[in-house]
Amino acid sequence: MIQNQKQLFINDYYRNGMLTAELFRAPIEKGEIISCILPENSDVTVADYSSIPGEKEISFFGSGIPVLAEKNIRYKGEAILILASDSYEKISQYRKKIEIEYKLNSPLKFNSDEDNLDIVDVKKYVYPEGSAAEYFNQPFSASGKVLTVSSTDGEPAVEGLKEKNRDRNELPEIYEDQFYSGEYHSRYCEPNGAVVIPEKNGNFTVYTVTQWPDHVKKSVASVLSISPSKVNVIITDLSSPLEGRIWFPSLTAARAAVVAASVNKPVKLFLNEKENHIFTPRQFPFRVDFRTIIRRKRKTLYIRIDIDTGCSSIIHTDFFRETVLSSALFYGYDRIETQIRIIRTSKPPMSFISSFNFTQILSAFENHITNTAVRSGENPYTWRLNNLFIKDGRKHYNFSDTKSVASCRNSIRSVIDRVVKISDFSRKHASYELQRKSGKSRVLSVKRGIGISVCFFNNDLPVDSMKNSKLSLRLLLDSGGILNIYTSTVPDGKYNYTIWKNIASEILGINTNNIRIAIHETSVTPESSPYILSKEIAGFSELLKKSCQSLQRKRFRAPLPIDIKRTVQLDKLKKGDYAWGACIVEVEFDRMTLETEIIGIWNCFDCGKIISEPVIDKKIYSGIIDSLNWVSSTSSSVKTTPYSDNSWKFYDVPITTEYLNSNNITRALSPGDMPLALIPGAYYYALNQAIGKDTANIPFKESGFYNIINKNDS
Amino acid sequence: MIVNFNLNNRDISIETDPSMRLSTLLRESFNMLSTKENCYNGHCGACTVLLNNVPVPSCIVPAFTVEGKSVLTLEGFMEKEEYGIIDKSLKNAGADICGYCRQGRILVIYSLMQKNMEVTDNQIFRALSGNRCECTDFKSLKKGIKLALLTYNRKNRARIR
Repeated sequence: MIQNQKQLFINDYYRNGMLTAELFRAPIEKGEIISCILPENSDVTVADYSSIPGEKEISFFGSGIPVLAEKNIRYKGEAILILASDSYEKISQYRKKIEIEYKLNSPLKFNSDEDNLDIVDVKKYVYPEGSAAEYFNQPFSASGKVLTVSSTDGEPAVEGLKEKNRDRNELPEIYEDQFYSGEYHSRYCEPNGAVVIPEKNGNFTVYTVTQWPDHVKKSVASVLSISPSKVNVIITDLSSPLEGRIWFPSLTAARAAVVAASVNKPVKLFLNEKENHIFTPRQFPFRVDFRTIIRRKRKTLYIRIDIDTGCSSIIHTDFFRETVLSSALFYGYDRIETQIRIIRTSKPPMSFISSFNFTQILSAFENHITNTAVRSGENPYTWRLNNLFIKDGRKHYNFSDTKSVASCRNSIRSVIDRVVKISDFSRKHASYELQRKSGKSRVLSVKRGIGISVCFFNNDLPVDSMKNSKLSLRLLLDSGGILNIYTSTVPDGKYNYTIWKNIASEILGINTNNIRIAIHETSVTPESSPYILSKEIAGFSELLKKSCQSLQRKRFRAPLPIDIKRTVQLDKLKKGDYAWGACIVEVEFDRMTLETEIIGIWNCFDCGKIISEPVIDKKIYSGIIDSLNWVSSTSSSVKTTPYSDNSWKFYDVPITTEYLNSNNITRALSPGDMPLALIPGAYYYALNQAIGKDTANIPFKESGFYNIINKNDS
Repeated sequence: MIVNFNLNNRDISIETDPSMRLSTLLRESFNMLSTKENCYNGHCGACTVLLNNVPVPSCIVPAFTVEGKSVLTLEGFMEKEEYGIIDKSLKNAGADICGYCRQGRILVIYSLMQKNMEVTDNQIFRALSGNRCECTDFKSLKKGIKLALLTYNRKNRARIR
């Protein structure tokens, strides 16, 4: 291996005799392979479905992802063959001579009519559990997103409520909203790839870019039908962000391993920029319908979520249920009915990224709350305060006592109050709302809007099936006084390394320069689940803290070196800690140019103890810019370049961020991906207020604005 | 064909294929791994080198066109005093740039420093917009660049006196 550089990325690795591999991908969206004719007498090694010696799929939380397509093509670009040679030129020439005949089928679309949707699964949840479902079969109003308020006049939109409520005073208020969120993909330069080296003793060494090296190890072993102990996975240097590197690197490594095993030579397979952008997993697009029904101060929420999972259903609907429940119960909803439909389409497999909190759902829900407040004639700020946490959801949130409930309520109030105060929200909101209602907005070319959003990041695990997962760590304090941290747990940002070093330094009194994070290598580091499961700060940092304390106790009793190994089951971690955040976004919209300018963003977070303010500040700032890029992205299509024109255009947006520790917590609580949920929610409403009409699709596009304004004016 | 050029202050003469990219030549023939190849379209900025002191994406520069010119990569630039100034300033500002975009960013900052005594936010934004890696944020990069420029100018003034 070349080791003369400080940082080596996957495409910097080279070994004598190494073959480079590329994938031959299907050119059709959906169909079947009828025949395949490969050129003969060539220097190119070809691997197809039948070349895989072991399992034909890699498994991810119960879902199977095919290594290569056998006969059925499920999406455009699905890998059919792996081509390997000592030069790309030979592969390129060989590729042109491959003849494959396909039978075309109609591709599956997310926006098809109900009859043409490929609904894989429908899950229904009712809260409180065991109570009767009332609304699952009730249709939404024809236009989907149109508000239906029936408290004083008109007929209620929900059929079942008509007969029950003959008395005018008992008519419910019904508020409906519909949102569509496009797929979300983080951009990064560094490609995904793997180098697989067959060793002389029959073992395999895999170099790859992953957050879950043990999953790569198991996947390669199962595909090659060998013992996992024969596979050693070494993580190469990583740039950040790391989204899309949970299960996808296992697939790439498994493909490279199939060829490496068949030719017994090192093989390098890495994706080019376009492949990287199109095929690495992106966050599920989805459509959400919300219906809030308020009757005699009793609030019911009905949510229907359609999720586009692409061709593979790598999803646990429990994640969504938990997200919906956690969000809605904080606003005192008495009943929550959730219907989740998993819809299969002819797209590459979608996945969750970074967090299980489904930031789009949270931002859509926040916007529904703001809409509900405004339509019922209240200020969104006061509506939130008046409705916060009225019903005690202690059981759901795993709160041990009423003190936890009170401290949680205190956190929420603190962040909302603070952010409203520093942004002068109430005055601005009333003014812009008046402008919108008075119709002056049609006269003025430039109009403003302001939106508020509140969000949490919980440090608990979302589903039971993951609670057997574990995090592992090994600390080695060597005779030179250097502390080495060994773990297979790869964080989703290098900032976390600074936090780890700070924690160890604080407890052990060792200078951070003398603390080293060892290379993540499965042969020397203990097995671990992916870092995202540890819910960032709460999981791994707690483990590190305890290990450091244990090392500190041994330090003055045992001679150096001291070696400590610790493992923690994720369900044993402390539960019920919520980090809270609130955000206000003010925008200015120009009806002539259809351009949006951000006047200001005000944030406030309650994250307990702040271990490193620059680190958290950076994380929040990056999250804000990332979410602004997402909501205003004009290049959401996978066919276009991953680099949108909007990238970095928000460099001069005025952002004010404050941190509170309203309950004087001594633990650090991660803000996680809160900005990704907060910003779109607040931006969404601010823009709607400025335009004077609801728009329902994220990301926002100029063409969409044009249509909305024209519809509004006519 | 044979190409003669100056690479990191060394005169080079090498036989190359007419279709070879400068980035590929640097990586494969000279082991300059700081020059990353990713998009092959010149829009990601990972392969940026200084060609006659001007930042260019080397993946879209044919190798034979550098005949008689000077090429500076991060490996060569690391020997200069200015590298230390930029590196330290970025670290102090909290701009942890990743190894993938490092060469592009640092050489662009160096080029910016050479042209300007003072820079505006807009100039920084325009200079850095050719590098699309999102490993760090504009705020800390801006802070780092201003810090580097300040240190660089101070040292230059001290030398003149």
